[in-house]
Formats: sequence, C-alpha cells, structure tokens
Amino acid sequence: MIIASSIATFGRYCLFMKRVFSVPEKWGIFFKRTVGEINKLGVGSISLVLIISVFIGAVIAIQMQLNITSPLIPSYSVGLATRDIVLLEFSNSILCLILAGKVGSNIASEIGTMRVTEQIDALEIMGVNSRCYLVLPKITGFVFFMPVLVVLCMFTSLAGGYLVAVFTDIITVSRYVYGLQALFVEWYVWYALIKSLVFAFIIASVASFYGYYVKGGALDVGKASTNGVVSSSIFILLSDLLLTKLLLQ
Amino acid sequence: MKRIFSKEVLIGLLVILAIAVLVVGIDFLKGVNVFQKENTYHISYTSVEGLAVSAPVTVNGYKVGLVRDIAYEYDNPGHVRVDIDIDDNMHLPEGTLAILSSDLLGTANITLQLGEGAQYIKPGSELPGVVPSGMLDKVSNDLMPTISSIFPKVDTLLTTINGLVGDPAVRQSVERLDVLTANLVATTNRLNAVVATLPPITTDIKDITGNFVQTSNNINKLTGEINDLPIDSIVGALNGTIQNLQDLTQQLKQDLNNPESTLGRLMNDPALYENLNNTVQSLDSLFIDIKKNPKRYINIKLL
Amino acid sequence: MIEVKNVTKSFDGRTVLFDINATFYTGKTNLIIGQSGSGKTVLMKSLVGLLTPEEGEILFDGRDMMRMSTEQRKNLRREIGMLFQGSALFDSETVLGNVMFPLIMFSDMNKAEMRERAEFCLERVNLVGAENKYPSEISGGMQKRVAIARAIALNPKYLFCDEPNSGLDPRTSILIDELLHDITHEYNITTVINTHDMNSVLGIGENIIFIDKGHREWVGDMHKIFGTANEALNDFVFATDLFQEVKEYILKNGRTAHGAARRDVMQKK
Repeated sequence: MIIASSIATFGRYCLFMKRVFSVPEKWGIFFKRTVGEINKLGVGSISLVLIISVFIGAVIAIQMQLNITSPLIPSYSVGLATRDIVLLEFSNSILCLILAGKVGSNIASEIGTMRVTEQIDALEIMGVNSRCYLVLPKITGFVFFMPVLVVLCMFTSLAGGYLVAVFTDIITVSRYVYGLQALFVEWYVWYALIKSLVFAFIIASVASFYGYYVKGGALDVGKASTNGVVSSSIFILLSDLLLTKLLLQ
Repeated sequence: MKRIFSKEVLIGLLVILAIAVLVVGIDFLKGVNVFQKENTYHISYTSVEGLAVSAPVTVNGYKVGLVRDIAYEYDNPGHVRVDIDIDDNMHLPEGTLAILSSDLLGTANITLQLGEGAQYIKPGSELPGVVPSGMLDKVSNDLMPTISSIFPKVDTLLTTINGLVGDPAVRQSVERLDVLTANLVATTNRLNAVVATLPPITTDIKDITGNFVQTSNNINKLTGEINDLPIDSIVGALNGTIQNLQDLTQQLKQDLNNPESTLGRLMNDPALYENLNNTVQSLDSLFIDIKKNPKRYINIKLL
Repeated sequence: MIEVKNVTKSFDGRTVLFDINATFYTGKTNLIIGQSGSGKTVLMKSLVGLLTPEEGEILFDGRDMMRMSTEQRKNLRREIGMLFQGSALFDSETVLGNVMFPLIMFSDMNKAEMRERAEFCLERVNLVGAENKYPSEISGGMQKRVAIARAIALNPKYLFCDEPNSGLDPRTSILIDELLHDITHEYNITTVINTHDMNSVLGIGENIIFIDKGHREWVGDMHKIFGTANEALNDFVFATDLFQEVKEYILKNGRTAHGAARRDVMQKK
C-alpha cells in the first residue's frame, strides 16, 4: 500500500518535472528570477554552511584523534580520516540533508502559500506556465550555486580541524597537515561535487512539487513542507547509494 | 538598479572565490606546494607494492617531497617508473639511493639514502631504486620456516597433554580431591568449634593439674612420714605380742587336751553338757507351766 | 460574447453542474447569482479553464475552449483578465510590479510604455500613489482595486470577477461595482461577475443568471427580478425584508430610486 502510493507520487512528480522543463517564455525574466533565487537560497545559506562546517570539522578531527589508539596506525591518520570523511560524505550528503531542511522547507512553504492564496491560479489564468515560471528558476539557481557551498564547506571543515590542532594540543599541526596530504585521491573532490549537484536538484524539485500540489489552508502548507523535507531526505540517501556505487566502484 | 547590481556582483564574487578555493585546495591536498619550487626525479622500481601517489618521500625521517606519479614502463617490462617531487632546497649528492620501505600495515613510502658523492644529481634525472626485503619479507623468509619446524613438536606436546587430561583416572582423582577438600573443610570447621570451646577446658585442666600437684605433694609428705615412723620398734613389739599369743594358744591347747584342767573338763566332759541340757528342759517346762497357770506361782495382791 | 452550452461538471461522482446553458453578452456586466455552494464558482472556474467540464461547450466568440490546443488556449488566456475573491496579488512584488506583471510577460512594449500603461490602469481604479507599496501594506479595498488594474492591464476582451465585493464596506462596494460597469462599457468587455450581493444585482445586473443547486433556474435582468414566480429565486432575493420594500418601490417607480442613490454615492466620492 505504501509502496504503491509512493510510486504513484513519484509518477506525478515525474509528470510535474516534465512540465517544469519547458522553454521559458521570456529569457530575461527567467534569468532575473534565477539570480533572485540564487541570492535567496544560495547566498542565504552560506552562513549556515560555514558555521556547521567549522564545528563539525573540528569535532571529526578530535574524535578521530581520540579513537586512534592502536600503535599500528600511524599518527597522521587524523588528518587523513578527517579529510576523507569530509570529502566523501559530510560535504555533500550530510550538508544536503541539512540544506534539505532549510532550503526545502523554504521552497515548499513559499509555493504552497502561493497555491493557497490563488496566486498560482492567477498565473495560470494569465496564461503563464506557473510550473516553469516558479520552479525552474529555483532548481537552476540552487543547482548552480551548490558547488560553491560544497567547496566552502570542504575548506571550512578542514580548517576547523586545523584550528583544533592550532589552539589545543589534542592534535599536532604538522601531523594533521601531513595527514591531509597523505594518500589524497583527487577524484573524491569531483565525486563530491557531482553528488551535490544531484542532491541540489532533488531538494529544489521535490520541495517545489510538494508545495505546488497543496490543497487547503495553513495546516496543509505546513504538512506539505514537512513531507517535502522528509521525501527529499530519503531521495538524497537513495541516490547517494546509487551514485557511490556508480562513481566509486 | 543598484540592488540588482550588488546582488549579482556578490554572487559572482562568491563563485570566483569558490573556484579559487577548489583549485588551490586540490593542489594543497595533493601536496603540491603552490608557492615553493620543486624538482622532479625519476626512479625505476621492480616492484611498487603498497606505494600510492602522494606517498611521502623522506630523508633521515624528514619529509622532503611526495610521489607525483606511478606508471608502468611498457617498453621496459618488469619495471615501474615513479616520479617524485622534492623540495628545491634539497640537493641530492651522487650515490643517493631511493629505497622503497613499507610499514607494518603495508603502506609504502620512499626513503632517500643520501650518497657520499661530491657532485649533486641534476633535477629531472634518474635515481637508482632499491626494494629491500621488508619486515614482511623477513617474516616469510626466516621466521616462517622456524615456526614451521616447531609446529610438529608443539603438536605432539598438545596431544600428550590432551591424553593426560582426558584420562578418566585423573578425572576421578580430581573428584575425590574435591570430596576430600570438602571434608577437610568440614573438619576444620568443627575443629574451629572445638577450639572455640577450649578456653574453659583449659582452665579445668589447669585446676586438675593443680590438684594433681597437690596430691603428689601429699603423697610425698605421707611417704616422708612413713619413712620417719619407728618401724623397727613397732615390728619388735609386734613380734613380742605374737610370741605371747603363741604361748597362750599353746597353753590353751594343752589345757584343752588335759582332762584334769577345768578347761579340758569343760571341753571334754559330756556330763556337764547333759546336765545343762536337762536343766534347760526343765526350765522350759516350768515356763510353760507358769504361762499356763500363772496363779499357782504368782500371788499378786492388790490392796 | 461567451456562450455556455450543456455544460456538466462532476467531482468524484457527485454532479455539481447540470446541463447549464447561458449567454454572456459583450459590453455588459453579466452576473451569475445564487446561494453559496450552488455551483457559481465551479461554473466560473470552468469558464476560465481552471476546471474542465465533462460535457458541453464553452464558446468564446465562437471558439470552443474545450477543443483548443494548448497553444490556442494560451493565446485565449491573454485575452482574459480575472479578479479573484482574495485578490491573489503576488506578495513578492510591489503594486506597480503586480500591475506590470502581465505586461512584462506577454506584451512587446518597452519598459517605459509598460510603466505608463500600468500607471494608467492604477489611475483608472483610483489608486495613485501606492505604486511602491507591497500588497500586505494596503487595505482590502485597495488590494481589490490593484487586482482589477492588473486584470485590465492587457486590455482583455473577457473579464471575470469572483465575488468582487466580498469583505468590502457598502460604499467601496458600490465604487467597485461602478468601476467594473464603466470599464465594461468603455472597452466593450464581456464581463462575468459572480456574486450573491443584491446591491450588485440591482446596481449593475444587466444580464443575470440564477444558479440553484447546480441548475440554471432563471435568466433575466434587474428589472425583471422582482416579478417572477420562481420560488427559489424569490427565496434568494427576499432573504431580507429590506428588499420587499425595495420591490414595492421599484414596482411603483422603476429603477430610478436605487439608481439615483447609487449615482449620488459616486458623486460624493
């Protein structure tokens, strides 16, 4: 029952996406709106990303150091483990799960409220393809700006670990930096960026979908927002698995 | 207009910043020092087991560079070419060897053993590569055969111990020992109880021994007194008395046997006996008559 | 002119509109009246294409909307202006932005021309000076007027208004009604108004369609609305005693009294 309804919802989502990806009527408007969305969704998330990254990077470094007690493991593993965790999982999957909450609920409630106050009907009556007009700039903007967030996240996380090394004596700075550079696989960075693009698409599109089909009042907008976040999180994790298998094996 | 201007400029700046961070960051993580000059050298190894790109290159334990590239030499089979980047300041004298060493976990790095030559090796040229038998090799070559020879002995030892331990007699002894120990425990407990009651007994014993001492003292005293008694005189007196008694009995005997002495007559004359007997008989009849007729004999007058 | 022929609409098996036939005339304020829940809104949404009826035809000057291709329908939409019950202004845009929106999306004018047209529309609805305010900063009546301005920005041929007077005080109500009436006649628009306000009926009811329980019960105009034998209509009209007196007055004097009163109000504004 749940699987059947989930697949039905997924089908509706695909139809929705088909209508979203139509040619915009006026490109100038589209670009202007996209820039607006980048500003709202992307630049607005930077402070959150930076704060989370610094602290989690520091915590990872400390925890790696405290857990490596076996003499067989070289002491520079702290830097190595921190870097790999950040590159492989934190800077894309975990970051996108966090952003699914912030950005996803923003999008879903905005579009949901527009639906509830008949603004989407007004657009439709005027002859505007409301799906394309509302949703496409969000998707485009967020996907475009996501790599910036990811790169900043990576840098700040590793810097967080570095600051722990500098300001406390839990880790030595030289060993940390040595570990950061040891056995570095450059492909991981590109893998992280590719994954983040897919996740950004998922966040923006799923949230828009849930917001667009709200029926009712404020309560339903809230429900749609919640469902949007939950669904996009699940979707992100599934595609994480798929992409890891495709890209890293 | 101005609002749009600053929004787009901000976005543009952030994107450029991100790209810069990405490029510099990747280079940094690769160990490429963007700001320092480095020299490249080539090494040809027969085996690069455990070596990865970005593995450190050390001299006297200090990291001076990184492995930049590893490629198989297709035109020189059996060899793998490794390119390393060394810090500009590090000059390698002639005779320097590049030794591939691996730690216990299998990750390898390159250790440069500086040579004694007067000239320095030019950057870009080839260094001789040495693959020493590492610890794991030593393990497989030396340690393993020794261990292999020990194995049969250990095996026999273990079998014997097994047999011994499996023997039912051992088992039984152990069981009995168990019972014994249990008993010992019980007994010790009892002994403990007994010893607990000893204190009053010991006082009793003390008293008894005290009595003993006293009694033996008394006995001592008695024997002493006995010793002091004039036994000789007493014995002499006794002898005298016995002699007298002997004489008396002799006399009596003589008298008894003599029919002339009164005693003899008393003893031997039957007439006396008969007289006595007759008297008694008469008396007896008299008493009977008195009893029968008290008035004949007794006249009691009452006034 | 809009012709509605044999339109039937159901939701989940429940029929809401039964075989509706109606004609809405160009250059006139056409009213759809009825109780709440009678199917007025469903009919209006079907007219604008937000809902698709199961049967029937809707002809916009001879063109059947239901059989149009997506492209044709899009073009038809450019000729339609709609005023929603809740104004449905875009809250992220200013008043001017809202009015200019259809111009930006669909017209080929340059920026200056668009601005001029938008300001003209705002003037027409008597809303000068509020261009840079956001919808949340203006009153309900002003929001309605902005919505009208937006609806007429592209010079539509068909104007649809869903309960334009809801939530307005009587004076503003009359203003809006008269505005719609004037615009209709000035630009020769086919205006369809959904309402249950008797004041609007008597003020601008040039063509009235009465819908009761999904059926078209009565067609007429304001002059004829008081003398009918239609029970349902009479229940609707004479819901309050006031209109009993109005009826008597009008039967005696014609529309004059009511119309005069309205004209007075307009002059005092």
